[in-house]
Amino acid sequence: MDLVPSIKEKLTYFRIKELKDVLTQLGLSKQGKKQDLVDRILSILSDEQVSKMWAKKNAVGKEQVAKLVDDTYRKMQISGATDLASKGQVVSDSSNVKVKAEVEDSFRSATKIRCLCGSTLETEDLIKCDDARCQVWQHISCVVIPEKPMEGIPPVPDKFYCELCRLSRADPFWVSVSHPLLPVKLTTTSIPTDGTNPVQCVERTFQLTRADKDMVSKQEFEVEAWCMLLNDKVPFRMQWPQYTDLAVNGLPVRATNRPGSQLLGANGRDDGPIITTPAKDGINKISLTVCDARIFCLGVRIVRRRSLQQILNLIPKESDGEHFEDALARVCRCVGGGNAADNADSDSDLEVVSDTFSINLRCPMSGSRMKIAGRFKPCIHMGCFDLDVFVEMNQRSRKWQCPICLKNYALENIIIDPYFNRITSMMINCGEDVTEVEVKPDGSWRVKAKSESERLDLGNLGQWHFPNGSLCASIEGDIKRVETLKQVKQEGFSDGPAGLKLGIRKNCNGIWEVSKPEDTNTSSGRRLKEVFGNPEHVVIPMSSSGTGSGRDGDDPSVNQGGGGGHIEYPNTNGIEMDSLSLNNVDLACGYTVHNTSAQVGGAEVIILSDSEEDNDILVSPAVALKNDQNDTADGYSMPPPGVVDPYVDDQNLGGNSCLGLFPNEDDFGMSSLWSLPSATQAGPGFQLFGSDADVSDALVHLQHGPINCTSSLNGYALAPETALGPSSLLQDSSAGRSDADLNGGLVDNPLAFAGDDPSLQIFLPTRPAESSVQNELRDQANVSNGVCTDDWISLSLGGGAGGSNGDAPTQNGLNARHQIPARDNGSNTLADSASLLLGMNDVRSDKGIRRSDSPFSFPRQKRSVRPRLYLSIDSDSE
Amino acid sequence: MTSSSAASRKNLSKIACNRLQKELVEWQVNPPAGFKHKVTDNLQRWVIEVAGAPGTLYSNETYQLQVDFPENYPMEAPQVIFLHPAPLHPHIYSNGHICLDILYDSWSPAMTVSSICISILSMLSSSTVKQRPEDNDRYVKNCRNGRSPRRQGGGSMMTKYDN
Repeated sequence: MDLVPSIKEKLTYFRIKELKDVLTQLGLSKQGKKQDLVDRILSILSDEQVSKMWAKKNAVGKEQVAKLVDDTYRKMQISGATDLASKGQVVSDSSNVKVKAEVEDSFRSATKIRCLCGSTLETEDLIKCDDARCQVWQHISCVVIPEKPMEGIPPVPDKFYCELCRLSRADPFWVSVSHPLLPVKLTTTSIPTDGTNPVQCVERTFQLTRADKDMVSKQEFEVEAWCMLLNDKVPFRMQWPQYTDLAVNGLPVRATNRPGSQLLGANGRDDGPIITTPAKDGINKISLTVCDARIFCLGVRIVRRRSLQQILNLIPKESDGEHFEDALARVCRCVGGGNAADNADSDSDLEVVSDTFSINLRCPMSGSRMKIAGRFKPCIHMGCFDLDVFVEMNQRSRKWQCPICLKNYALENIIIDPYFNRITSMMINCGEDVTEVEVKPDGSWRVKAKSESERLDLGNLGQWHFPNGSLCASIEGDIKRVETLKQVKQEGFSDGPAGLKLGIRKNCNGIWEVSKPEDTNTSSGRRLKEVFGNPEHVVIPMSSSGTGSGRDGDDPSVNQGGGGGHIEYPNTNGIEMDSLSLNNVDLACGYTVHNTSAQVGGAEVIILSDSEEDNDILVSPAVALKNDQNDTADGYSMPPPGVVDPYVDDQNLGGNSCLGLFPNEDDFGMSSLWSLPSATQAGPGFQLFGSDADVSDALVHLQHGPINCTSSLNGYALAPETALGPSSLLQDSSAGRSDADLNGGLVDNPLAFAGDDPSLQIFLPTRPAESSVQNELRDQANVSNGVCTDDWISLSLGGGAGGSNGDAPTQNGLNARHQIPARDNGSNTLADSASLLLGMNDVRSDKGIRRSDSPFSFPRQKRSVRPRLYLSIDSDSE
Repeated sequence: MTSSSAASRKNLSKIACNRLQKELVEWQVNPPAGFKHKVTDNLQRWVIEVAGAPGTLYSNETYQLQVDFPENYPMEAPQVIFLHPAPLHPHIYSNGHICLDILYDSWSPAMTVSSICISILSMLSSSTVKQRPEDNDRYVKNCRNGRSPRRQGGGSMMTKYDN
């Protein structure tokens, strides 16, 4: 073969640059002196084995090396001449001094070359379209155009798309079916000497088959001429040059409505004129003449219309677009604001030190709250837009530009934001004007309310949610979860005036529920049913069998008849206290907490009593129980005076036998609600304050409230159950206790307690509507004073629960006695739990108590007789 | 297919209509300081009275802005011009056209009439000299009935970085 000598000769002409290029193509080392490089190349020709060294390019033989050298040699010759020659149209040509190396066919045999220049030869450096399905190769010098003519070949872009792929992204509502005329460059015909823009033109033919023509006769198909600026800074759009003059088969076609001199702004989008009408089957002629210095390409394609829904279907499902964790991390970063400086594009405005950050969920397009939160995946900000609105608007505008950061993207970059979409979908039923959420740096969120009442209206959504949409648990992580209610059995109660049982269940959320025993013949003895699916709930059943042990319990009838209705006070923030408050107040009487003499040791106990205040406090149990976090205090809008009045006035209170307290956390969205389940049943029988009817209604209403709220809780499995549970219980158990006078009961207690028990006194005021009942009650009542104390003590758990128990009860508590032992246990447990529960927010609980205090200051102590009620607190201490 | 530029005088799209109504309500609740919307029944063209900010060259002067909304608002920027007489300002042509980038390339659908107004007032307030743009005469002559100084070369565009 004379191959080697000829190559050798050519190599002698090579400069180091060419040698390096060849070696690069061959994948060989470029190190060494010039002679080393030459030798290295020659060695390939002489040594077959060396071919193995050619890494990636399989099976490259001598011939390929020879060809490579040959090409390089040829280009070297040409380049000198072309510098001057090819000035005209495409600047890129002249500036392309790069050595063009053609690598032999075999190595790209599978590659498809389609270039604007029309050549499919691998005569130059190639670049591949990054579209996964396209992967066409093009000549770099043809398609990579410098910003300014004299800049030389710019670096190859990170992402390169061929014109057809850019076109398909420019307007996804039109999908390319075929390309009768593949894109061709315009060529410069004359270069004006006065510095104005040169004239460029192109004239081509394209063929439409009969089948094509039939197809485009259908409504959703069209023939479209399109034009694109090769180095457009907005990659995915059409753009027509200045002073465009377009004709198809000699018929002028208006390409754009822009004035000829006007350039297309970054925000503008040109369109492709439809040429279905002037085009005919067979050979068509298209000509374009423009006056512009930039480099454009022209093409003709057949397109099919896609509907809005089809486009929407192209957007990946929420779960497919982005991992939730990624979305959460982004939100945390943006809200946390920590490293906003790291990135110029991040929302540095957000760099605010704040516990929470308000985020408006309004779509920047529509101004309405987003329904489906969409975003462009590459964006680093957390701002979203309403997906449907955005896509619909882009049907017309074809911008596919992020409205927040103004970056240009394509439909394929759109995803559903898993974080915000979860929120917006949960808010789907919120009022139109509710658009803001508060987000903590950890991603937990709640709907922002302008006022407390609005927060109540929001119900569950007004409470903090975890990023995943479930309700936040109580702050105190250490709170025990009581899985089951322990039931404290009260010995011997059956006779006794019913003890109040407070069954407190905690939810994992930290919600306390006070529940009554469901059915109770004996109030005391009952077990709390674990109706609550959640072991976690603490149910505090308060039932007093004021009338007689037997009475209260079970019968709804009792309630009605005896007037022993159950009153449940669920504390849930969501509830509207105001309306209820008055009615409730009466009920509230039932629960009194005395702090009077003794201060309970810890703030922890807060619930029951404030150490701070010595005054007798009636805490509506709900209040007291409340856990933490809540602002619940607000929820208790019980004007003290108002409360007092009811007490005083109504001595006749129908006496609700059972009070069910459910203190929930605020988080639950349910604020203190007083629900009288029994009320409905009791209806007529139910006598609260002289006007029963109203009250009952109110009560009933209340009940609904809580229930609704619970149901509304999404994702919060436990909560709803608990809430419901108690209500159901209440209904079942008709009468807790009937006290003749609520007041009396209350009053009494305080006295009793005054000495020792700082702790809470919870009384269930029960009045027997019926005389008979009353009688019974009274009997018991006499005893009762003391009793109460005991119970209370147990409740008081708080600080010095242990000690207090012993002392206080003794004085008054008759009934209490037996319970005492049990209580201790209970109390301890309670104390723990109480401290946990109540202790959570000392401050808040304090508030609650204080407020409550005034209302419950009891003048009535005299009526001590009534207090048969016990509060037995069953706590599950597990 | 529609052409984006041709759409500007078409009736507002439904989305645009809803959006504008929201903006109007928002405006009424919380109007930008120094601006007054002149009530008309034309949602697509707002006329807004702007009072020069105190302590600036334009204090105690009032001008009128005319805001025309394209069919695809807010995807496309509204066209905002000063009605005659336009304030003397290096970025405001005598025909009322305003060189302000947010009205063109830097427009974002997230902007509102209110935010535009604030930008324009800011532009006025930051001016240190009362004069027309250098190429005012040429521009106005060439412009004739054109709407606004969209990329016609020549005049400099006021951008948010100019201040």
